[in-house]
Amino acid sequence: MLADIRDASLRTRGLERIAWARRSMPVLNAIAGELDLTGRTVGLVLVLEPKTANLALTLRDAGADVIVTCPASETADDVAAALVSEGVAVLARSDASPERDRAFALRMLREGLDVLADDGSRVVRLAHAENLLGGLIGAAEETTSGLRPLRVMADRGELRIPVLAVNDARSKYLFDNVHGTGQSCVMAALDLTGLQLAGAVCVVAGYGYVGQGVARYARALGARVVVTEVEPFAALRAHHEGYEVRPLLDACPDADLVFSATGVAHTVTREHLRAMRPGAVVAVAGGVPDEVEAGDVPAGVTVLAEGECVNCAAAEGNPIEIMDLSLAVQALAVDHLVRRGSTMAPAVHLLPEELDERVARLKLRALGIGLDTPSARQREFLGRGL
Amino acid sequence: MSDGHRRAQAAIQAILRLTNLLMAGKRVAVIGDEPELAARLRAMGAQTLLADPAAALRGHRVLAEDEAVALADLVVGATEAHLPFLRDGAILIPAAPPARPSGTGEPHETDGEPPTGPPARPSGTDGEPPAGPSGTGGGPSGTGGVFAGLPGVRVRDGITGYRLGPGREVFVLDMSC
Repeated sequence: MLADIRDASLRTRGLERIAWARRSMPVLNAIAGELDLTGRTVGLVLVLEPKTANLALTLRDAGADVIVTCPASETADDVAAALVSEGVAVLARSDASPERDRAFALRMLREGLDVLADDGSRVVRLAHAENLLGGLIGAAEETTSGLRPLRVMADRGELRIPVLAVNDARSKYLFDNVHGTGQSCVMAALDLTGLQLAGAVCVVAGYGYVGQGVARYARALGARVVVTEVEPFAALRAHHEGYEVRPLLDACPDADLVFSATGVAHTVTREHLRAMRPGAVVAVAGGVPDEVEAGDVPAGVTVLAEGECVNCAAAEGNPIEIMDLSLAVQALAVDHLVRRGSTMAPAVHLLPEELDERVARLKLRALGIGLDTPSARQREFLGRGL
Repeated sequence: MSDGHRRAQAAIQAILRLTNLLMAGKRVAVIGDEPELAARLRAMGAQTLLADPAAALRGHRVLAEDEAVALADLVVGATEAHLPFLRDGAILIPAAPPARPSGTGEPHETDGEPPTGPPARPSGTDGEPPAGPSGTGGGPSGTGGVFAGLPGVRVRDGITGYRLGPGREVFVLDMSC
């Protein structure tokens, strides 16, 4: 079995954290029994922490050979050790150089994967660039920022495998991007800085799903939130939800805390950083490389987690219940690719609607939340269409 | 800034850091007079359960204390008196000795009630070091004596599990972690 991890003796702490997460993952538990991945090799490139470890174990229990890799900054060594002790192949260590991270990904691809679950589409793109697609049936992509380059590749006719857009499942982006990333990024920034949010000014660049969540949780903890946008509908939406909306450069001098939530490189530039006052803190929520131009930070301004996604790089990642939804979608996507991937065109595909809805219904059942059923008269009204 | 706001943020940070759970959608019983904490939790999407009838006007659900505790996923300000009512899987933040001078805060604060609630971090209540990395020693620090006499089991850093009966296990957070 492949294993290159930092410290196998951290296993016990990793197993404790995996077991604690499992308690709050009823949806993944519910679908575990229906997956059949016998004899398949599945590569996982998700942030290596206790929740994704539960996905790895679920796929293993469904019969797959699972290989996990993860960049150093997103690797929890105790969880890596726990997975190895459970018979999962892991190539990930928190002390790896970027070159070694790349070598890990290449080594995983050379093992011959059937399906790849990717994060940021880093490894899908690497497999294309290095001509290592082999017998890869398809990939599932977790994030907004990972799907964008894949869609560009598909438009240019360069994408050679089908990709399931896990991110675009409603049971993922309506909760993970808003509540998961929102809560965890705000809390991570507070844990790292000791900032008191009550009465502070928090600037949120970008009012997409992640920005909406960050703004909501910062406001809930007492901050005055300013939103900045480039897109007119998003700006109007923020305005109607009660936020001040201003250009970023104009808002910087007032900011105690600035979140970049655009997923676009060069959002917070040197000019913005220079406009901030001493003591200001900048963090990236979600994020792509160079979203904050962190190379030349003025004295007195702090960029958290070196400009990487603050909740992955500096805390325990998204909340467990949220990752239960996202990882259940991942598991169903992997299973769907195994069953149907060979008939799918090389393009970015949405998860079938019925699988997405199944995740939402399983979560409601786990919560004990009932739904109304449309009455015969309501169905008749809807069926009339007039 | 009022101490209540400071303690509210500190408690929420500690709960979420220790558990890695989501606050939105949680049923949270807030025991004791912690209006700022209750307001913050509600704003984060928790369904807050309070015993003070006036809390209904601020969007909280009002229930008798034992009923609130029986419904709660999370009990802030838990004491030994709540043990019989807790549901399986409940997470407890023990009540701590008052960490502030009296007379601060909102005008609706009642006197005569001992102020309870989450401790500001760090504030181990008994000065013991945290439980070791393995083992089942009872009474780790910071549990506020809620479970004096019951053997606790380490679950993970800062969380101790207590089995109250068949199929009923609750978790106590060590807020000093």
